[in-house]
Amino acid sequence: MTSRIVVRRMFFALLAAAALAPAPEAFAQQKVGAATAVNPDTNGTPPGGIARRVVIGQEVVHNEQVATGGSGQTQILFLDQSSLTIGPNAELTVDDFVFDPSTSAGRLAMSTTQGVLRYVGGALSKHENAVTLRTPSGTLGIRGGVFLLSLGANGRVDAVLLYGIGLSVTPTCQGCVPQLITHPGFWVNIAGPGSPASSPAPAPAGLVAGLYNVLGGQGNTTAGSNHPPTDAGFANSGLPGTLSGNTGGSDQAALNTLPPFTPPPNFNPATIQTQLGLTSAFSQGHVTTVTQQPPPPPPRGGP
Amino acid sequence: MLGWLLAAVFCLGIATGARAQTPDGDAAALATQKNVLFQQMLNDPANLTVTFAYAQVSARLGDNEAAISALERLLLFNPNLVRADLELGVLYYRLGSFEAARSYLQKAAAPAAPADVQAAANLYLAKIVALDNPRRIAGYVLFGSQYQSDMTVSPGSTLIQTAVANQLLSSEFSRQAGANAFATGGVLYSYDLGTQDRDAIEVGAVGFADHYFQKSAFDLDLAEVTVGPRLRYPNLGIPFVQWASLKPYAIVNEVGLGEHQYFFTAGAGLEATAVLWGDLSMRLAYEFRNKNFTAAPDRPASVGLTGNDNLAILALKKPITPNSFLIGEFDFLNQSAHFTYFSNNTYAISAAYHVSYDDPTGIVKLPWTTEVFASRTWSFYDAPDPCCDTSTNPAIVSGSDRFDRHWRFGVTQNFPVTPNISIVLQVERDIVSSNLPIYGYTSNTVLLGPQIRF
Repeated sequence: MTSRIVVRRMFFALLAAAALAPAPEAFAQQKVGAATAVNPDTNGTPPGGIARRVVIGQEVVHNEQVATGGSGQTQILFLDQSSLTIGPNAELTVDDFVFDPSTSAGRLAMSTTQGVLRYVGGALSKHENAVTLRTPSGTLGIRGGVFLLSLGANGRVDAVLLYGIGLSVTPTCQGCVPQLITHPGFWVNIAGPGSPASSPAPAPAGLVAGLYNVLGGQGNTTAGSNHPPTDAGFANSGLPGTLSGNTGGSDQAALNTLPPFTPPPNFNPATIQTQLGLTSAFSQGHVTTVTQQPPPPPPRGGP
Repeated sequence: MLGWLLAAVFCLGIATGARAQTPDGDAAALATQKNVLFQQMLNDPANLTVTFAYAQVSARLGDNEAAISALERLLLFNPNLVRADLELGVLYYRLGSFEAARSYLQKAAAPAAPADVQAAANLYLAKIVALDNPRRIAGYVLFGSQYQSDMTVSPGSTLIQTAVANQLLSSEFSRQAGANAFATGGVLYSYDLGTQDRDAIEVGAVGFADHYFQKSAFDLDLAEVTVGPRLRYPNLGIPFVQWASLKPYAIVNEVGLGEHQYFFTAGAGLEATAVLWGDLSMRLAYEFRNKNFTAAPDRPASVGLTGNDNLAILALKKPITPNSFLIGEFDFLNQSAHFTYFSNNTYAISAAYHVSYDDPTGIVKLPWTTEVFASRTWSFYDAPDPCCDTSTNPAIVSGSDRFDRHWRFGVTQNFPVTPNISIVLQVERDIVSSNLPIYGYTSNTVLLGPQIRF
């Protein structure tokens, strides 16, 4: 083989490798979801790009930083069908998103520096350690559920598990103990960076409702919808029949989330005598007359 | 036996029929439809038709989180959408997220909301109050009358034939048919201690009383109470184990027979429960009971039953179809009695198939339930029983260790009258055979009475 052929083969090999490898820009611009509701004063900054105003339907890409102002709100719908609602004065970056629809496996890593957020799980959160949210004071990991986070400008974390197998809260301070919330409605807080996490406890009264108010719609804004829904349209959607109208289905689902509570089984009156040993108890009363043989039959044709 | 086979086929037929009536049809088709709607929603998030359809399909699939995502977006489009508040409250209620549900439902129950929305919201708020209550209570009361072809649980003949001699029983203790009036009930009270794992204190009570119309010596009264903490382990780290719990408990009871005290018990138990592989409920229990019997003129030997019971139970329950389940149980009981010929080791296996189905008469329109059950018990006693000379040599008097076998078959039929009240009809046959003939008997029982559940 001549040196010329070797060089030529190396050249084509490098060319092929370059063609097969994803360009850094292409990876960075990978779509992770879309902004499905946006109240103005919401901006997105793609990696290496400049800040742009986010509008409804706009793609959210890998490593994009989303920031809201005082009246800004947005909902990001991820490709795994999970969603994140971001309240006013918040900032969030999608650091990593990998999702394989064929296996529902992958990971979602996000980070935030402040704001109120609500994450509602999709396919990825069904897997352990697949969804994480990093804050300056600690990292949250959700398994199979819904959580609320309030992150103050001073780094104070208030994390509430609303549904799911567990929400882990791992403080950034060295040697601090991670906490795991498993009870819906329980909460953990971290006072700030370097502080430990509190033990899980019932969320303070009003905390959940207060955070929902921050994340709900504002006044007469329509979050980018030109034809916002009406109560009449909602009533005709068929949803009330499936949900609130199906009280039996709702009750059964709710009961399934509670620990099993089985009333005592029926006491069977037909078996109690055997259970209580009556045959033994009365046995000494049984044999009151003992005969060696049954009396012989009277002789036929006796005198 | 043919009757049992027909009953089993009947129940299986009902169960199979119910499976075919699955209201949501093919879940795979719905999942495909949901994914198509999701892509459409991603491209056109403000499209209300698609959003409603996505939420609807998700809810039917039981993917309440997906439905929540869709409806919470609608609230960003219109913050005054009280019907969305109501349905979101219901979705969080279904997830057992009562605090979030409450925050939505309270908005839907506001005076400005339409009357039907307010009513529905208030209904669900009341349900949350009931389910979110740290105190839970459930139980039943059943009373009625029972006929037994052998109420004295005695052999069919007063003449007992043994190897060397025949024994004549007192007619007082030979088989007699009879009927009684009975009342029984059970209750379980649980108080949630407020821990994250939902540990609780549980108090259980069972009561029973009957009165025979023909023979008051067989009247029974029983009251038993168990108390203990239920410690739950929601995160054992074993993937196929859910709702694991451990409950140590104390047991006390008092039993009366005829006009006299029969025995009283003090004991303790340890129960482990879990749901395995999603739907197999398991209960593993051990109980120690110290029983103290008292004698009575018509049962002088019953004091010899005084002693200790060691009981181990493994019970399993698994749904077979959406409206039926199978129960299996294995018990081992070691009874150590003052009279060693009453001491025994008993092994029992039992199975029951429970099915509910639509009211075939269409009158009450509440589901009927049928339970078919059977069990087999073997009891091996420790010492020769002085009751009976079983020697084959007329010159020698000797007894034998008792060995009993017990078959039990039955059907329990529930006819509901209201959601909480039903009429119970139970038919049961007990066949006990023993190497000591005075312990063998066969009894058929028919029981009828109303049952109230709460």
